[in-house]
Amino acid sequence: MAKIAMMIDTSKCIGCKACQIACQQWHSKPAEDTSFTGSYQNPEDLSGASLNVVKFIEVGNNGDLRWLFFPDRCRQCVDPYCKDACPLGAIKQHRMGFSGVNEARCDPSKCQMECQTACPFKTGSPTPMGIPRVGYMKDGELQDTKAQKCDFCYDRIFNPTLRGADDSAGIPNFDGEFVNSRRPACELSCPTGAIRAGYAEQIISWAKARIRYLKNNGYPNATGYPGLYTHVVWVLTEDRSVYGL
Amino acid sequence: MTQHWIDIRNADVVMIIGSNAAENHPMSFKWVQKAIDKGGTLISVDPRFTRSSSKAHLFAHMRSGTDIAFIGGIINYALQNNLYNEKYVKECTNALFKINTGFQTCAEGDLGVFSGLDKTGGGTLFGHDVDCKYNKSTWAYQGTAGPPFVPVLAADLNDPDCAFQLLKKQFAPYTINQVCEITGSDPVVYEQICQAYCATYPDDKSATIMYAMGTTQHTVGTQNVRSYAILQLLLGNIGVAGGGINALRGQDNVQGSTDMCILEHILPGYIKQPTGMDVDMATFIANWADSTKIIEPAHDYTVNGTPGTDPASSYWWQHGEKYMASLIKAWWPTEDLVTGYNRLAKKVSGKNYSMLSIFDAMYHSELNGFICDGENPAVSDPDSKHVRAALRNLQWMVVIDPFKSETARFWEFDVDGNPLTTTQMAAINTTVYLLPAAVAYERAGSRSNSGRWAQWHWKAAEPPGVAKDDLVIITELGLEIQAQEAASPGIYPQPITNLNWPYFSYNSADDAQTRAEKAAMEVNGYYLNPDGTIDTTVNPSGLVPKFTLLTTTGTTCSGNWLYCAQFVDPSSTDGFETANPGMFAATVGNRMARRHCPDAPNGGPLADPSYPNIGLHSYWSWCWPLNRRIIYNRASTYQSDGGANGNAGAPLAPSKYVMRYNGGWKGDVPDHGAAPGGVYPFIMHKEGHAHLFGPGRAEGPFPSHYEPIESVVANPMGNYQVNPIVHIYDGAVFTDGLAPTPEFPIAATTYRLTEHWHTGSMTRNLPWCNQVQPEPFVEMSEELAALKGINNGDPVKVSCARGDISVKACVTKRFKPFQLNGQTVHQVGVIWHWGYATPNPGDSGNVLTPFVGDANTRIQESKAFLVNIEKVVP
Repeated sequence: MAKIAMMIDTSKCIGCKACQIACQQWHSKPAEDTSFTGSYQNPEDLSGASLNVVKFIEVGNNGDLRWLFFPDRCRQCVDPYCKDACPLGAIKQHRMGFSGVNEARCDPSKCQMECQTACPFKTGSPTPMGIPRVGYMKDGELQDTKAQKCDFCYDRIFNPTLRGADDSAGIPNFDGEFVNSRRPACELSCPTGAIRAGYAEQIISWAKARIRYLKNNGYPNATGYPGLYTHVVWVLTEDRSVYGL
Repeated sequence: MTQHWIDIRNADVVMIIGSNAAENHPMSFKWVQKAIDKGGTLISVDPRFTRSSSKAHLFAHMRSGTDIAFIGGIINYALQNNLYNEKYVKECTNALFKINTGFQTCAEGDLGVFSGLDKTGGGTLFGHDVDCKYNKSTWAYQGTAGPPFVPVLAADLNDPDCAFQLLKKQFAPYTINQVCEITGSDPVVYEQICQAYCATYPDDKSATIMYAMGTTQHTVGTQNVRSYAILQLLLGNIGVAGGGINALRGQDNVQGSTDMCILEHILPGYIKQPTGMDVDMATFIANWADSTKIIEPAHDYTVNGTPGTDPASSYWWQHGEKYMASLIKAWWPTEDLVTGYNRLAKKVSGKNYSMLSIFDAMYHSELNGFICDGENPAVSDPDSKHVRAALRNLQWMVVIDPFKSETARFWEFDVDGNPLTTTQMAAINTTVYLLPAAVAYERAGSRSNSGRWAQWHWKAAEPPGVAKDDLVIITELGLEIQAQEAASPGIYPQPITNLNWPYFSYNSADDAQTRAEKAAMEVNGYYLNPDGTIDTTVNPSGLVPKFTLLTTTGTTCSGNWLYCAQFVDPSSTDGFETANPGMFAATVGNRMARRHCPDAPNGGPLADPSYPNIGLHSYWSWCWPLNRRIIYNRASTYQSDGGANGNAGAPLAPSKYVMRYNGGWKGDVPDHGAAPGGVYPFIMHKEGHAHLFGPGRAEGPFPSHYEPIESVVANPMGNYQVNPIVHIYDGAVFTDGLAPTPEFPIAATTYRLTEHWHTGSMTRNLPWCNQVQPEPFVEMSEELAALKGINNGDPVKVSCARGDISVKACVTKRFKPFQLNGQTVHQVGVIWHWGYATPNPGDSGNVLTPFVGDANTRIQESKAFLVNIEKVVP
């Protein structure tokens, strides 16, 4: 079966956080405690309630000032380290390539969060940690959860109760395509089309073309992230180090 | 919007000024992004680097309240470097019209004001002239004595009396260096912006301006918009695809409510609101024609429907009487027009009824009752403490809202938002009625977006509990008022008892869809029999197919002429609609419910296969007027022979043409169907030409830079610090920024966030939205923070002459101090979404904003005022 992938084009991201809330809503995650700490970024990092958090990065100064937005979430490894590391076998990889947590099997009280330790993508500060997270703060109390991470909205893309691309009863959008609700919540909520999911070959070729375009149109340092070993790829307008990646 | 959202993608240059579109209109960035992807340039102008700026090719810092200087400099750059569209300027604008020789610009005579300033009856605020008036006798065209009046046109643009030369004179002082000393912009970047923007003057290029409250909420708000209009006219950017001046409406359906007369000076469809001086219909029409809305009486060369000397001036307001008569018949169909006119409530002539004036009257106990429908003035209105205090002087208030807003709960708190004791609450004598309302998704009906599209929507869920659809609330309220007035008549009951109120009765079995359709059909209008019943002889439903068929004689009614054609009899549908019944998602005839997506110009996609894909989508919903997607679109074609570029009627931009003439018009619905050259394109003006010289405004026919009422900067553009026409309300509290005691030295502005909605009463009740922006904050530069010893995230107090708020500090490189001719001016930005009535309470930025408004419209000056800021030491 063909693999699927997702491209996140930060050159089109306006940091509106629509994907962040759409993700929380589709996954039925509650709001967590936050406070204003000096940045538009909130919550500050991924958690058991926030599977997708837009990171806000200010770099440069004066005429060189840039405000970068990075929707941070699981990279969806081709060979998920978390899956291999989980002693309970709670992380399941779909034959289309992405993986998700099987909450029926996951039990953080019976493990050392090996999924998180094994994850090669450590994010957040001051102590960066792997993507799968547990727990969140609510009303001042730590709430227990199973391990949480992006699951590619598998329960949307294979959901027969949602309208599909071939549904002729559907309403075509302004590009003449039929609205296809069987897509990840983040993609559907993005106002600028910065997030696109699809067959991996198509997505990778779009991403490469976009990087080439950006390099020639004002973003000489545009690059892809993380590489070829994930099902989620970012198009970055700056070198990955500028994003702290 | 002269255009619509999708048309932004056709622009070669997009300038976002007075708006943070990415923040407040995120969906608009879908189309901005498409313009960029096609090679377009995005310019962002703002006091700080915003989410919109993050995607811009060129970003200029601009001190709040200096839009006229910023745009004036671009106008001057275009004029000095001959970067304007000469043919367009001559044929479509009043550039060639000669102006009275007594007229003086701000650059001559008494510097900073135009000829005719009358200080009698005026006053001063800290030594600056305010509350003055203009004698506009010199703000007039040269011409023969009328009627009919024949204006004198200059032979070319070099005539010293012509509007074009006066415009040049007015803006000559707005050099790049002078502008940057006012705005604080980097001169190098500013010149790049001038170059990039003015490069759109050729016929086939276009640029668009996206603006919002950052433009309008100033004491010179109207003139800020005028400056955009003048720039766009010079570059030939009005009427063309990817052009226009585009007001991004800040609330769902604000466009619709404006069209339906939510403003105090107009009736539905922008018909002038009559005053007591308009004793009958004939007097009203005569006074309307003479009012400044149209232009000076001396210019009246098309009189009451009788064309004067110039048949090419179609002057659409000549039909005003038809629309007024049809409106009266919509409200009192059983009465004759003379009686019906008398039934209309009249304003007191010369009295202002704006929001500021209403709260001023309330504060002075001149108002007894207040119906507050979907509004939260305790958070959104300037000098909120003043507003909250004013509410205490009411005998009763009705709040219609989905949530118990700050306004609904004002009596539980003091004006600072601290809870009152039961005894203190008992001392407030206002009786407050809360009518819980449904939200948009719990109702059916139409909503008009910024692009004037009336889009039908369907009810998705039942309202919770006892909440009701607004249409039900208002209809039942109307029925009850009619019943009570009939039972115990007041002094003049007939306007109420005879009012047509046919929508449905109490506890009607009609569903939401049927109710909304009934209202929409009445807004569209019917043919009427003499007894006021619907005349079904023309078509079975009796609906009037378009506003050109409305009459002055009472044989038609229409609740809003602009919306006539939105809901028609199936027999009135056009050939494409008839051939494609499937595109009607609901009732055939309800054009607002049309959902045909492929880009179809008027007449359908098969009418002209060569039609460029400019995104008109003419069969998706319906837009006023007459489904014209781009207004003034005749200006997108050559008015006369364009030589090698095309004949009259050929498009200026063939690759993205709006319409073209080839024996008939193809493309968008033309703004008047006459052959090319047969009618001037700016049909709403008597002279048919757009106004470079616009004498209708209170403070001048051209914009001139004035400082905000509160400013620490002396105005270098003449002898007048502030707009001398501004009205100062008794008791309004100001800081004099130029006073010797610099108590409040920091310039401030207010704005909103993507994560919250307006006054926040909806989003602050939603935990997800609260979580992503939990607290109000003030943004400031690192330089100011260092000066005040403030660290990022610290609690701070922002204070001004009217009060103070406690918020968190957001210290950022995105704000920079302005260097103005050796003077350093710091600016901060305050969020105003918060209040005291929800989880995560906080203070609204509007506690700080001054109670003063624009000289024409009285919109509040909430975008430029003065504060001080200090760290809160626990």
